[in-house]
Amino acid sequence: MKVFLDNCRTTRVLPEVIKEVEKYMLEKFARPDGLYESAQAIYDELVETRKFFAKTINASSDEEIVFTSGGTEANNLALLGVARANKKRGNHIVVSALEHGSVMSIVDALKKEGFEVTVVPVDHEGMLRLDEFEKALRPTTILVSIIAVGHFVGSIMPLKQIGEILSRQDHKIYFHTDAAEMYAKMPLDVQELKLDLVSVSGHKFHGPKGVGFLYVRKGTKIEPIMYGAEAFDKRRPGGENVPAIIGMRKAAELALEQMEESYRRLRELQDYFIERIESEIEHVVLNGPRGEKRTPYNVNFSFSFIEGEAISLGLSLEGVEVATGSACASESLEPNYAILAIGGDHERAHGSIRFTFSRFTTKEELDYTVEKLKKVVQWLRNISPLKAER
Amino acid sequence: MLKYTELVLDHFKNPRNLGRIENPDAEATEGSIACGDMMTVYLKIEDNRIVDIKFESYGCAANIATASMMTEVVKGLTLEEAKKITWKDIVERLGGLPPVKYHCSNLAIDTLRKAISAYEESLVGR
Repeated sequence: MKVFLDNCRTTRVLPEVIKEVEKYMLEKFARPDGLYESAQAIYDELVETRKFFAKTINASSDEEIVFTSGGTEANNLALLGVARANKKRGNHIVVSALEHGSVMSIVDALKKEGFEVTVVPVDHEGMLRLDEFEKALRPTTILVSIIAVGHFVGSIMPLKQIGEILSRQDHKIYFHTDAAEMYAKMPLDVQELKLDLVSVSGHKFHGPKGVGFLYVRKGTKIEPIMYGAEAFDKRRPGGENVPAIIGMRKAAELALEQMEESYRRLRELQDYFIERIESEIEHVVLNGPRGEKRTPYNVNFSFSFIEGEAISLGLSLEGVEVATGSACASESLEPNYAILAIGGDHERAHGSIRFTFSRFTTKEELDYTVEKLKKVVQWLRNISPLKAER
Repeated sequence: MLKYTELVLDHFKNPRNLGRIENPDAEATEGSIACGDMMTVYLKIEDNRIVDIKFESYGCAANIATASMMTEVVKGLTLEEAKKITWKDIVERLGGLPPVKYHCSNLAIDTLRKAISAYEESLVGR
C-alpha cells in the first residue's frame, strides 16, 4: 500500500483537471492578446475565470484577481509590491512567527531595502498572540502579513480579529494573508475578514503546479515586481499560463463543491487518527491545537527519544510518505521553526512528524499508517540510547 | 528527501552490532539531543583488540548507517588500527553520503575514539 500524507506540500492533479489543461494546450492554445477570434475567446475566458475566483472569496470585482505562477509569486507581489509602493507612508511590516518560508524570505529581502519587520509570537497552540499583535502596530506600519493556517502545526489564525484590529487603526494598514492552506478547504470571505490581499496556490487543492493567484482589493497601492509586455494584466506582465489557470479553476470548482462535506469527514478522520496514535503509542505530543482551532487537514506529532528524519525514512520504506521538522532533514540543519515558535525544544522539533490529508484520504490509509508508525517508532526506540525509564 | 545509496539504506534498515554490551570494557556517548544526533558505543576488548562492539543511536538514517558500518569495520581490529579509521573510510565504504550529512558520519568515529580513550585511561590507574 502507498499512502501519501504530505498533501500540505502538494496534491495529486485530478484527471478532470488534466483534461482541461490538455484542451487548452492542444486546441485552445491562443494567448489573450491577439486580435483574432481564438485570442479574443481566450481573453473572455480569462475574464470569466477571474470572475469565478473573485466570487469564491466574495471579492467585488474580477479585476481584483491577478494570476501568478503560484503561491510564492503571489506572496512576492503582495509584499514587495505593496511595501515598495507605500514606502512614503512608512517602512514597518508585521508578520507572524508561523509564516511560510516564502514570506519569511521576502521580509528578509525587504529589510535590506530599509524596511523594519516585527515578527509577532504565537502561543503554545500556534495561535497568533493578539495582544502582542496590537502592540506591534506603529504609525509607520503599512502592511501586515499573517498566514491563514499554520502549515506545520495546523493552527487556524484569528484573521477576523486581526482584520477588526486593523480597521480600528487611524491610518490604512494593508492586510495580506497567505491562504495556501485555507482556500478551497474552508470558507474564505475577504469582506468578512477585511482582507486586502490573499495568496492562493493551485497545486494545494489538486490543481496544476506553477499557478496561483493574488487577490488585490480595489484601491490597493501596489507596484509590479516584474516588467514586460502586457498580455492581459499590467500588474503581472508576460503571457498567462492559460492551461494551468483553467486547470486551477476546474480544481477549485471540484474542491468547493465538496468543501463542507470534506471538512466534516476529515475532522472525523483526524479525531480518529489522533486518538489512535495517542492511545497506541507512548510518549507522544500533539503539536498545535485541538478541535475547531485546527485545520482538519493536518496532524502533527512529536515522538520522544527518536529522530524525525529516521522516522520519515522508515515510514517511506513502508510506503507512507510524510514530512518532518527534524534539522537532519533540512538542508540548513536548523530544527523546525514552527515547533520552536510554539515553545517546543530542539528534541520536540527533531522528533516531529507532520501528516497532512487531502479530501481523498481514507480511513484505511490512516489505519495502515498507524500500524507502520507503531512498527517504525518501536524499532527506532529500541535502537535509541535514550529511554523513558532510564 | 535526501538521496541515500542502497548500502546506506540497508545499514539503516538492518543495522549491524546494534544494542548494548553488559559490563563493557569501555563505553562512550557523544552528540546531544539538541543537535538531533547522539550515539553510545560499547566495547569489549581483549589483548588490545576489539572483540565485540555494539551501538545505540538517537539520530537520522545517516547516523545509524555510519555507526553500523563503523562497527563492522573496526570489529576485530587492534586499538591502534581502530584509531586510524577515519570518517572518510566509513563514508567511502557506504558508497558516499549527501554532503549535508558528513557531520553525522563524524559522530560515529568521534564516539568510537572517545570509547577507546576511556578504555586507555582506565588502564592508567591499574
